[in-house]
Amino acid sequence: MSESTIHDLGYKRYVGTRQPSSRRWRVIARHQIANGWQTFFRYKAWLLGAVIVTLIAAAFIFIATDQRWHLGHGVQQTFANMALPFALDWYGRLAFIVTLRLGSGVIAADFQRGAFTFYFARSTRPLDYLLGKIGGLATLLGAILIAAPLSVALMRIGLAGAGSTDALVPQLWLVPKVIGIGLLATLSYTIIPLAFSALVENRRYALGVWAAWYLIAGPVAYGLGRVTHLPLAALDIAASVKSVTLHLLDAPVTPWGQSVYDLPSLAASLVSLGIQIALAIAIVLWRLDAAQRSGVGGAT
Amino acid sequence: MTIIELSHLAKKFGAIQALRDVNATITGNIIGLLGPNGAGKSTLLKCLLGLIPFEGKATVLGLSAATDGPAIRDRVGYMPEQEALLTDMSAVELCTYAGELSGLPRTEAMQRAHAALYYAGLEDKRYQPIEGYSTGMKQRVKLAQALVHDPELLFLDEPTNGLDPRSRDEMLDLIVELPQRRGCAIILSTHLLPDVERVCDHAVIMHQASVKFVGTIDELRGARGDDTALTVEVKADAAKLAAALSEAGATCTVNSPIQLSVDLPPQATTELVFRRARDAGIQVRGIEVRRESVEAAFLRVVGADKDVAA
Repeated sequence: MSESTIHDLGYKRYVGTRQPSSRRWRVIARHQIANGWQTFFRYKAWLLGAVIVTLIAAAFIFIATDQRWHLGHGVQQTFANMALPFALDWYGRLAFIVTLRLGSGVIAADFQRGAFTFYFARSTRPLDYLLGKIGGLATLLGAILIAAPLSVALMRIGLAGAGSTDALVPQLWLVPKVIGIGLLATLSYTIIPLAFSALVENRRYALGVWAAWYLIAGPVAYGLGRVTHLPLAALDIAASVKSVTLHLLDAPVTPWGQSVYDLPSLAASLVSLGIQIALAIAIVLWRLDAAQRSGVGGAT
Repeated sequence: MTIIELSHLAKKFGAIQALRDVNATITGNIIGLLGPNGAGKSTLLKCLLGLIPFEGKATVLGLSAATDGPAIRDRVGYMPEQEALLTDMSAVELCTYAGELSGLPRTEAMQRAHAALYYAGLEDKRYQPIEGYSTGMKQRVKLAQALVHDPELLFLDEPTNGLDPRSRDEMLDLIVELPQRRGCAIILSTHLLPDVERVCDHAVIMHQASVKFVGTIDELRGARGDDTALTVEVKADAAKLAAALSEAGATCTVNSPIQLSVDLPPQATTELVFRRARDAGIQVRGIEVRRESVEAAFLRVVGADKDVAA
């Protein structure tokens, strides 16, 4: 402590320009990335997992190229062709773990420690906060769900290119398809957990509710959907992402033998994920708006 | 310079009138914002920061609170009463982040974070995680994060809450120095009236959704317009002077052998004290108009209103 000595280090009033408030979300995004990067098991471990999956996929593509993968339903595929669906399946699992370690607790933790007073007593708006959190988390998840599968896709294209140009051209479509799948998965795994985090003002409970939605409610809806032939199965986020993946990659069966016909339709999956994302954004904004109004006050 | 101007400000939450036709022009360096629970201080603060809509007009530092909320919040620092810190960060990281969120470029925010933490007396501990800080240190971090973006106006909400006497003294020293060192005005919301008495030059008293008093502390304490209440110091024998003055119609209380409190009769002046002292052969060493404490003045302002309300 300073023993009551006051230092001000040659203080001078700041006369420079201030960043416009529309850019504050970048500060929050950068902080979110730094926060995720802080400890090994918060993010780095799962990114390392994605690197390992990518290496295994590379081995499928370049070493076990022509070996056949018996997928069930009488379907066989070469390892080279199944590398991408296999990798995407695992990237999804790793992304879910990241949501447990980071995404589902982010807003709840800020509620718990009263951080909204810190944010909203400044010129930060609820939208800046939301964009910042989404930007930061999406960057982290995008490395697993977009960058990693894209590198697998490029390897697959490279292998095809080594053969003939005729084989290469159809494979080029993999790039936009993988980016599309990755983007949709990134948005789903980033934004939907945030809604649970905003609804439940306790980090652990928020994590639990999100895990229950993903691991219990989703599969139950999937089961009910299959029994009742209603599009309920699309409520299962993992099943919907898988469905989009299989449809876009023209793969009839998942690496684990699940037929594309057992999954929700492409349209139902896209609509379900779209609605869940939109609803999540609305919930978070509603909660943040309330936090902004109540988070700042005078003495009680 | 006028810091805040309120004109017919009103705010309703459903059936509850949180602010009722508030009119005030607030000036000063350190302004105490006083009022009992539910007086409307929090609502006023939210209106001033542009966080909630309201009726009427409110300007802060010349900006309209209704339309320029973000611009106001860039020029205002807020030290909350409750814990509102990102505790997994160090103090310097938190203050840098706070500076950037208020629009400072990263390098500038970092430099000012160090300076603000030095000012708050946390130079040795600024790299430690906040979660390990004592209450006093957390209060200092809260002050530093409110200062880091170089605000022109600071809202301090119960800044000495939970502090031991020494830390409280140090915090009040920091607050008192701020207007001169940093060129910012301060609005101090507190229930600790001795703190107000010690550091504030102006006061705003709120009660039952409206402003009951705006002015200097001296005006608050002397608001009765009454200078017949005196404290008289004598060389010796205060009791003898008390007896002499009582004969002349004054009401006296002997505080000590050398000091007495005197309430002069109507139309009398200090000349009566000097004359009676001379007659009694007592040497007068000092006469002061007896002022109310801020606490007494606050209770009078609020209490008078209670009587009216009753």
